[in-house]
Amino acid sequence: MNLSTTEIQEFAQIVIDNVEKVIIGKRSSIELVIIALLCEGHVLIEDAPGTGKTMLARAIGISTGLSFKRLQCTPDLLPGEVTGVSIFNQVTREFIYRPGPVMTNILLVDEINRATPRTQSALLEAMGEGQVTVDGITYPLPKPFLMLATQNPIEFEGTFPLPEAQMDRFLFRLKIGYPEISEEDTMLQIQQNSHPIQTLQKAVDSLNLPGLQWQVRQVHVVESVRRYILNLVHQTRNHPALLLGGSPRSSLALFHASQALAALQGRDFVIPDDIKSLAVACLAHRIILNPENTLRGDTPDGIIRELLRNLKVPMDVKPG
Amino acid sequence: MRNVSASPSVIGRKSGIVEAGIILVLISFILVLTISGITGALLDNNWVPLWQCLAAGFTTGYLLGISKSSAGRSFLIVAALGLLFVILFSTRVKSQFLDVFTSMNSSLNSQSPLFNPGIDYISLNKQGLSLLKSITAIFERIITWLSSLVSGKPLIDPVALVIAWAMLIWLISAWAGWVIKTKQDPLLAVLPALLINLGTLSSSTHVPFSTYIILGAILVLIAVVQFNRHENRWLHAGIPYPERKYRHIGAVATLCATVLVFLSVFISTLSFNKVIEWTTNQLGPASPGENTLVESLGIRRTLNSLPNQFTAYQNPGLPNDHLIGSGPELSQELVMSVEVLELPPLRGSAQPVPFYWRGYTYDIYTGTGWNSSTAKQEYYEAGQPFRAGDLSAKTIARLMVRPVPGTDRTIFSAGDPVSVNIPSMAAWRSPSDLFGIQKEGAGSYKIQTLLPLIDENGLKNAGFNYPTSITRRFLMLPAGLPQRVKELAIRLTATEPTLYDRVIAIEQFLRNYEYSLQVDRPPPTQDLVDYFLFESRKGYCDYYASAMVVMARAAGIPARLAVGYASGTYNLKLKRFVVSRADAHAWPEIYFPGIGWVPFEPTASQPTLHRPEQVAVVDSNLSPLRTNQDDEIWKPKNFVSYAGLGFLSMILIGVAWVILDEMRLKKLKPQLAAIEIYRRLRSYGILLKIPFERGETVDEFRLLLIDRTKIIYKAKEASLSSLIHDINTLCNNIIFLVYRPILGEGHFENNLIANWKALRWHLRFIWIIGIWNTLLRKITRIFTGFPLNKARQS
Repeated sequence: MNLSTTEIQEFAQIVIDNVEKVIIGKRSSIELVIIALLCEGHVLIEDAPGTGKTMLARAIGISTGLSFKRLQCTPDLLPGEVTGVSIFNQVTREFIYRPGPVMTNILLVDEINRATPRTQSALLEAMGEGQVTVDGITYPLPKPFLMLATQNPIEFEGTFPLPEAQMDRFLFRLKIGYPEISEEDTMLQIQQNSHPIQTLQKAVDSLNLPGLQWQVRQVHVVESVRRYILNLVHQTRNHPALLLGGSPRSSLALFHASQALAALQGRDFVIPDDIKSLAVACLAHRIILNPENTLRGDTPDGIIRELLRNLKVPMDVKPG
Repeated sequence: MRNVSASPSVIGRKSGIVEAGIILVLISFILVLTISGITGALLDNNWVPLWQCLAAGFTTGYLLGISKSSAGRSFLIVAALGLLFVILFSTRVKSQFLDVFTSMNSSLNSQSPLFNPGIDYISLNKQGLSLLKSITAIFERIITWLSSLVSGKPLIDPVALVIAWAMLIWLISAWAGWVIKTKQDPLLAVLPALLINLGTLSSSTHVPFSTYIILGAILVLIAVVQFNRHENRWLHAGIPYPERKYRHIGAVATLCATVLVFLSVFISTLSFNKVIEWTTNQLGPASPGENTLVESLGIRRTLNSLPNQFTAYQNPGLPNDHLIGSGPELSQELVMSVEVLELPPLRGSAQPVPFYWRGYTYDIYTGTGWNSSTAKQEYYEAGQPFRAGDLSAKTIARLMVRPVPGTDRTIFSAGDPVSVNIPSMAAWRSPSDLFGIQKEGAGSYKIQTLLPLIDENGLKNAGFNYPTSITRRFLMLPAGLPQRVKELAIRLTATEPTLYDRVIAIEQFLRNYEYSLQVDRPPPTQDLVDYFLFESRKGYCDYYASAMVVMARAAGIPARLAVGYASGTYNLKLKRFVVSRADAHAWPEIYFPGIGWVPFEPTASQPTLHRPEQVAVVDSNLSPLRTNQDDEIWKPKNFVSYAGLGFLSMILIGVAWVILDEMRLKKLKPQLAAIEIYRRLRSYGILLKIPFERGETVDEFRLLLIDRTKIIYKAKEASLSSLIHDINTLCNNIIFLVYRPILGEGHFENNLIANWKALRWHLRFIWIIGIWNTLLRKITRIFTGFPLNKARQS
């Protein structure tokens, strides 16, 4: 069966080009967000303030024509302020559900680690199940639902670090990083008069996201490539430097994400390079280092990279 | 006044360009004149390769100077290039090399999977083998020649001579180019050229006029260099000097040089020879061995020139002059009959060769015909032996010759006559060199003669150990012999290993010419052989025989012309050969060391001479087998032939392996073939020193390979685009086949193998370049003591 990936490729190309008008020189980050969108995953953006985290989320929202809401987390943010509340209507004498900011396609949760664990767990349900429960009544979230959470890795005071369970629900953790000098200069020139986000237009006319998502799932993954994913995740579980390895959910995440990346590059089959380029974004936030390795200066990213260097890329074909 | 303090660097550069230009012109002038001086002193002047060597060698040296490579590396490159260049340009290896190259190219370019590689490999292999054989033969020749020089029994070998001189001139020119660029010392640059010119001048008495011009040019050059040196010193010391002084000094230097040269022209005619005489007297009288050494180096010795054609007329009694074009008489009129009275039974053949009834032999080719050197006449009584017979490799035969009354007095015989039963008059050019015999009486005669036992094995093993008397007389060529005749002879014989092969090569070449009796006489100014070989391209026996003798001599093989009659018809009833005027014939005879004069038959109308592989006299009383006299010179033949055989079989095995391997790849499943090809590609990667990482993917390797290729080639991407395209295509095909589970797309597989074949050659080439680069770097490190890069920085 032949599969055409041109639709996905074109979609990604248009969106990325459009977003690049606002975010300069961060093509790989934009690609990862698009992949997350295609895989129905969520993205944790971890970086210093002012690197364009919010702008990235907004630009993608505008470009795809999806609804976009922003939620600034503070320690006094209540779950109801996220999910919405039921209000007693004096006229009709009944409770009416007032939807919160979570009822949107793209939700930007700024500084998620400043919210209290209670609020975080409300988000957990939204991320995992695609629904929210208010006063015992469950309300489904709109489809698609993409949560982009940001957290500032510098400041730890007054924060509630995300629990491992919640980390695992993010498809990727990405670091935008500072732009190059030349890119920053371009940014300054562009933004001299007005911010380009003001004039940013919707790039796709009619978004058939479920259709695209279905196509992504059809991308071929041969046995040897599957084995490569499994070997990689399995190695994180037995790695001496790691307290906690990748979950089965991480294998699945890597699997789907590599399918999406292959489709984005116009291929209808996954190659080990796809996995190698996604592994750090996909796995690093799901593993926990031993305290001594942390002290030694190891990082999860470094451990994953080392694994990739040493894990043999399978090329053999199983007989039969 | 030149302002020194302002900007000396600018002034220096400006005047530097002018001076460099003058120096360059002077040096090329001197080089050209020196080479012409050297070639003028050579026996065979006007060699085309020498001039090409001069130009190419100089350019190579200059370019190496620009590239700033170290001395050792430059020398290696120059030597290798020179050898290649010289061998390619002086022999017919060039055409063979081009053949191999073009067929290799076409096989590389044929991408079609339907193309059958078997046929191509075979033809390629054949061409490669012949090329290899030729090159081996040439090297063998050079080695034999060099060892003969060392052993003190120098051979005369025009091919080795051309190669050696061309190589020498190449090295001189390259040295000049290199020194000019790197050391900026023009005098040092032309020094070797001058030394060699002096060397050749001192061993020959031929002083060309160009020597004086060289002298003048050197004087001017010295003036320029000296002035340059002074100017630099003045600039450094800050001494102001007049700007126009440069021109003044130039004019004065040229004038002085001219005056000196004129003086030397007038004085040297007296002094040069005297100086040489004086030095030779100081060194002791020159021995004949030294003379032959000089001759074998190809340097002309005017003192030793032999008597010319005028002195040949001193003996009016014998027909010395054999003018070609007098018109053959082809009537059936009988001349004589010859009966073989006694011939020992021979093993291997009924008779040694078809009999040729020889009348006269000629040694001097005049350009229009043949002539004999002065011959001394001696009277012999009936039965008196002419010479004491040397029986080695010969057998005695007795012939009964019955001439028809009224014919001339010439005594005809096969082989070397020993005695005749009637009084006779023999003419000898030298004690062992017979011109011809005439009878003093009339009627029939019985003649005893020595027939050389000629077989192929003996001829092939003859070696090159010529007596000096033979090489003195039978290698002479007229000064006006056109260059193209010599070149043709050398092309034909350069790659033939043995003397016999060389002679056969000339013989076979001439047998392709058209036999015709209707030939116009060549124009009086044109050389007869040249006219026959290149213009009329047809002729009769005289033309064929002359051409063969001249070409053999040009190729360094002693040869002479024999005139007489061919065998005639054998009358079975009378049991004798009946010879008519139509059998009148001229044929070349080639001297084989240890055997003697052997007839050959280049004339197309005559049957070819079939020589048995081995001939021996059954009667052991008469003569043993030929003794081997030429084992003294060390011959590397065995070693070379074994090495060649080993190399050959290696090539054959390699070709077979390639074919089998391709068949196996085609039989494999596409994915497995792709994996196998990738494995090999990766191993080439290791050869190219691309580090291997366990977690490396095909695509990552592709990028590494492309990067590495660019580094090794040191070229821009544009010039590598086809190679990079090949790498990309191959890797993408591999990725496609390995990671995409859809089968039944056969064209991918075929493309894959074709792609791989094309790429493989490239990769090997890159590998060799890589090794070469590393080697050079190491050699540079040895020579200079530290890495090249550092040297450049400092």
